Amino acid sequence: MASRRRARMAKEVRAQYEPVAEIGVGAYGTVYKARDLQSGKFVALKNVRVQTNENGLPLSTVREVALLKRLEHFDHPNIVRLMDVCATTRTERETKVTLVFEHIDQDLKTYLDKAPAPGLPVETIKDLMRQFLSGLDFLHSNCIVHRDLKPENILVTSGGQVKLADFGLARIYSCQMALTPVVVTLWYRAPEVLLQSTYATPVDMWSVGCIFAEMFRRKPLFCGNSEADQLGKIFDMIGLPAEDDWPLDVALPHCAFTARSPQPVERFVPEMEKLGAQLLLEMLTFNPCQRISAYDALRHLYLQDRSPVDG
Amino acid sequence: MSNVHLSSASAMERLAARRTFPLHARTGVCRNLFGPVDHDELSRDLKSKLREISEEDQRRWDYNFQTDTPLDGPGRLQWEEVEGSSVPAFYRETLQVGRCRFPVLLVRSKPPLGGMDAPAGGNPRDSHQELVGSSASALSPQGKTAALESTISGGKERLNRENRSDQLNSYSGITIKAAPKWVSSSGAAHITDFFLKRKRPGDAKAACDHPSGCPASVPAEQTPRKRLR
Repeated sequence: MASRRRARMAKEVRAQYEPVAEIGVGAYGTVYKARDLQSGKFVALKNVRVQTNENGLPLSTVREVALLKRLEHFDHPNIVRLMDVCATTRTERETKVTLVFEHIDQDLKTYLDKAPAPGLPVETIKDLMRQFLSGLDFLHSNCIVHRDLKPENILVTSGGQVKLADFGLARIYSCQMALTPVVVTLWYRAPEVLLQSTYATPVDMWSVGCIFAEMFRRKPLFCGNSEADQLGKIFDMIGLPAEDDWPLDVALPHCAFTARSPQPVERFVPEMEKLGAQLLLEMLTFNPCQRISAYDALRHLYLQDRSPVDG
Repeated sequence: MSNVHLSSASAMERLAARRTFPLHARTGVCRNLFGPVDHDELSRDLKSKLREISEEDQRRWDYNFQTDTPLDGPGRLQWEEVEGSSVPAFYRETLQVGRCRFPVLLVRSKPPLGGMDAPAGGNPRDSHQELVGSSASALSPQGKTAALESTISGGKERLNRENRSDQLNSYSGITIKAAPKWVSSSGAAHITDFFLKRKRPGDAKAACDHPSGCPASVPAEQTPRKRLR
């Protein structure tokens, strides 16, 4: 009975998707970009191929595209510009949504890779952080949790302007729950996400902390290869949290981790001055309710000692 | 408030109608307010409207979104096709299934001349590379692997979500839930298998045990539907 059902399922799967017989070397597909001769600006197309069912485009996708378009009206300087959304139906099972974005040459990952030897000047880091937090505060005040902040999703223009990208179109978080632990980069994930507890805007602030440290280090702060490993690496720095702070509804118990005490920030980010280290620890706070918000971080003394540079 | 009264009044009315015609009450729609619908005409209108929109898109961007090619001739926009590896990862094509996003990789029978700058080992921080390959390797030992590949029009190149880092010679891929009807069946592997397995321990206690004191600024993932009672 079960095996017959399995066979039928397998058949359905095969009917749905045509297997590719030849596996060669994979590469990213090409991307189209263009210069607008009138404005002189560059745009790039991002294709999102959405699997559809008999009801067409999933309502969640429609809603999220609507949200992206609505955000556009605010014209926030630290959010990547979305100029247009064009949908085309290719097959019954797939709709292609093409998002026309402004084109920016590099992301923070490339920017940090390219930074010359001693690393970025502190003032540059502070400026990047102010812009980064301002974009994030904007998203948060519009009830958007990015959920997947990482250097690849932070674009930096040649003029040093920071623009957040890749929010809203999908929930990476659910994939991370659905697939195996090693599937998605865990390095910027907040403990409550790693523990699969409830989550909200503070998850992004954890990622901000990781990225803040990375701006000095020019390499990621915590490089775990599984949820447990990632948590272990986090506790190596911030110490094992108090049992009271441990979320109640999670699979991994507090006792799964050995006790250890918090280490000084200098051991992990030697380049960071005291005030910066203090801000970093407020971001890398285990309890999401006690973690600093984007709004408060922007007003932290560390970022206050100079007026924001216009990008 | 008046709205609520009104709707509950009309609901009462409907209930009364149901009692009178119990058979009709079972069907989803009870009244035909605007006369018969010519479905063919409606579908024709819809198609022509969609065509209109797509022609407008095409004019606005000098680009044929259907075929994914720029229009010939001098327009306002000067298009250029570039290697995916030369732009930030954010701009690269993704495939979205349900709420999950996957990078789309192009598989070629021969390695391309340029653009293959990344070493085959892959950079561990690049989730785009890691994504599919690692899930595939996690699935295949259990013999549950099934293919999910979408193909584009013939030729040597096929679009594929294959990872190039460690699975070059094996046939791998993951099955993805394409329609809700698959969720319940246990036969082939799909991502919900893992979802169910891993979700369970927390599920029982979830929600009630965590009266989240945090400012929940997460947008509601699903808006509860309004119901007339």
